[in-house]
Amino acid sequence: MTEGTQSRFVAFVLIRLTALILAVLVLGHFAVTHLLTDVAETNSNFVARRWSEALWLAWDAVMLVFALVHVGSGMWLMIDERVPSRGSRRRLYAATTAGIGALGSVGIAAIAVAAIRT
Amino acid sequence: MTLLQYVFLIALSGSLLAVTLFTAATVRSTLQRRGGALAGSWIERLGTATRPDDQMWAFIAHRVTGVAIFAFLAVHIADVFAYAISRSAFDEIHRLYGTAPMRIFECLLLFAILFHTLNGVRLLILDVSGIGESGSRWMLRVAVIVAATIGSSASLVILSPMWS
Repeated sequence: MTEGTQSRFVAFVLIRLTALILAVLVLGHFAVTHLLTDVAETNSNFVARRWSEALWLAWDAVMLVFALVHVGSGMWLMIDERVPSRGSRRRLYAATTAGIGALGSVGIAAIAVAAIRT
Repeated sequence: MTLLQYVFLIALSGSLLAVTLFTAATVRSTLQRRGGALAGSWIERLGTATRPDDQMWAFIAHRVTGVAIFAFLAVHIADVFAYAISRSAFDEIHRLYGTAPMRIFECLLLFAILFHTLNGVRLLILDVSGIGESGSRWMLRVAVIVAATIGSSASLVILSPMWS
């Protein structure tokens, strides 16, 4: 396999592996926060109660990381497919990696701070 | 409206604008690549333009819903981060989620998640099975019907506090 095909294969596999887990985690998250509980009730008390349990902390942390890996691989494939110039592709990869990394750090920081505080 | 709520709405509007621009660019470039309605000059297109089919729209819808869900996720990560800084700041922003326009937005988000998930399952099945072209079309129809059914039932639950 050439370098390009190998990367495409890795992205392809990552998208599908994370998709299977996300289908359960994201729909479950939406059901808990919008159907089983009315959205107006999901205030800071609700978050504090949920994040006092290891299950929900792990749920949200895994969901966050998998969602960002899913988005990152998807973006990588879109750039690979639609941007012909090598230089622009590189700059776009760097920008998306930085953006997704920043979002992941902010999200993990939020979960970690909340976990330590409770 | 407080300053934090204002900032949240600006961020959400910004992400919706990004999704709109992405949609326009994706529709345009997909039609161009396909050699369809927008490819080449109008004189080259005469007689060669073909009608975009369902599966091509599913391809575009999959990308658009993916980017839309991600755009919301980015805003959502920020509003949950507010919880880590101050619980009252989180509550201030969170009060918006219970308002009528945000409830409608949440229903649209659910439709996007359901379509993206079910169409994604269809793509997974296509990868591992030899179900073929007609099977693929049939599964797309099922995915859209199931997404619409679950989405509208759940929307009734999400929107119901608006009438009581």
